[in-house]
Amino acid sequence: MLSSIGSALPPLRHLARKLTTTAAAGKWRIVEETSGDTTTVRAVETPDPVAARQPEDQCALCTCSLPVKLAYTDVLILEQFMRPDGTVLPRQLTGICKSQQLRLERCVMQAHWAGLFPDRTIPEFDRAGYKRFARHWESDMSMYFLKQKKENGTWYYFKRYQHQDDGYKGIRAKQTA
Amino acid sequence: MSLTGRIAKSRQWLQFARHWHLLDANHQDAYKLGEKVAYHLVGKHKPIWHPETDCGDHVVVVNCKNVAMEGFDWKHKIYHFDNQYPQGRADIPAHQIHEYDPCRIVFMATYKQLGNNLVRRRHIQRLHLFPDTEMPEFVKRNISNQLEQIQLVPKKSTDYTAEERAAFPKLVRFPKNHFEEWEHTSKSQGRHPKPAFGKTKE
Repeated sequence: MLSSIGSALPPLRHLARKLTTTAAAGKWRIVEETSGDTTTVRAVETPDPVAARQPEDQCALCTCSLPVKLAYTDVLILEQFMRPDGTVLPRQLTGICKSQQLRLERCVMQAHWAGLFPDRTIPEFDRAGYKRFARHWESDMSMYFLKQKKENGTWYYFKRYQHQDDGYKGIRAKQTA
Repeated sequence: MSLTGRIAKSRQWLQFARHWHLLDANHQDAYKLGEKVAYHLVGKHKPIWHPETDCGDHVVVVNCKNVAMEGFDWKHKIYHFDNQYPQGRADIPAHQIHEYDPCRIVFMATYKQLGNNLVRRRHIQRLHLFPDTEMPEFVKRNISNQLEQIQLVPKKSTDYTAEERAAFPKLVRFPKNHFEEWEHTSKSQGRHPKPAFGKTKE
């Protein structure tokens, strides 16, 4: 019954390179039931259409010979490896290789800093000062290339359009206030 | 293709007119944006360009407060100001300037990309910056073209619909006898109390 559920669904891309003949394994869930003075704790199995991972399976993020790297913008992929509070699942659970796990952690950090997970953060997440502004990353390793850059600015500037949120409203506003 | 007539006259006017372009700076790198804006301010996008003919266009940049910088550049990029007068030197990080005036970073980026020549002050006069989408009526009426953004704006997790999520393939495969509770947030047990150097744990 369970195997027919797996075959009825359209073939998933990541399964195409390795066909497994095992039945779709289920995920277990702990259920507590209280009746009077007795509490029954049971493990209930729920069927999962995705087949269980075998020890000889390849890392889920290593895409054979394709030069495709995980990036901070791949939100839907990163979400699958994260907990609801924004932390990353351990390697023992997901079964990905060490280098991919490190890359995943870096991408998740970059996505959090870029504000791409508004529903998966803790309320104490630091968004002070420069962290409020938009940030983009060229690659996952670019967070390690830290160097102070001196840029030449100009005193030459003219502000044609005043905005209500401006810090400096001009000398006339100062005199009237 | 006649060179006389009303249609030919209006085509000539359109060719030599000064156009107003609109560009959205939302999540765009400041300097890459400045390069594109400078390209249009100078008029290099026109086949009739010449450095001596003033054939540049107006560019209206919108959502300047959402302009992006690479990595930690908001903290690391220090702007050095020097107007050659006493006490005219200052070193200010980019985030401080952006907090005070959201349009200044985009202004300085385009000013730099215009090169170091005598016409850049003339060209920068045709740049119109707005921190968000609010702008005066006459600017809205003048805009005739929208320029394409350089970088893709990344989608947040809340921007995806439930159908898109369901259609996306599942990459994670858990082993046999996997408990759902292992994917949930667990209460932190606190930091391991490591004794200070030189002291043994009592």
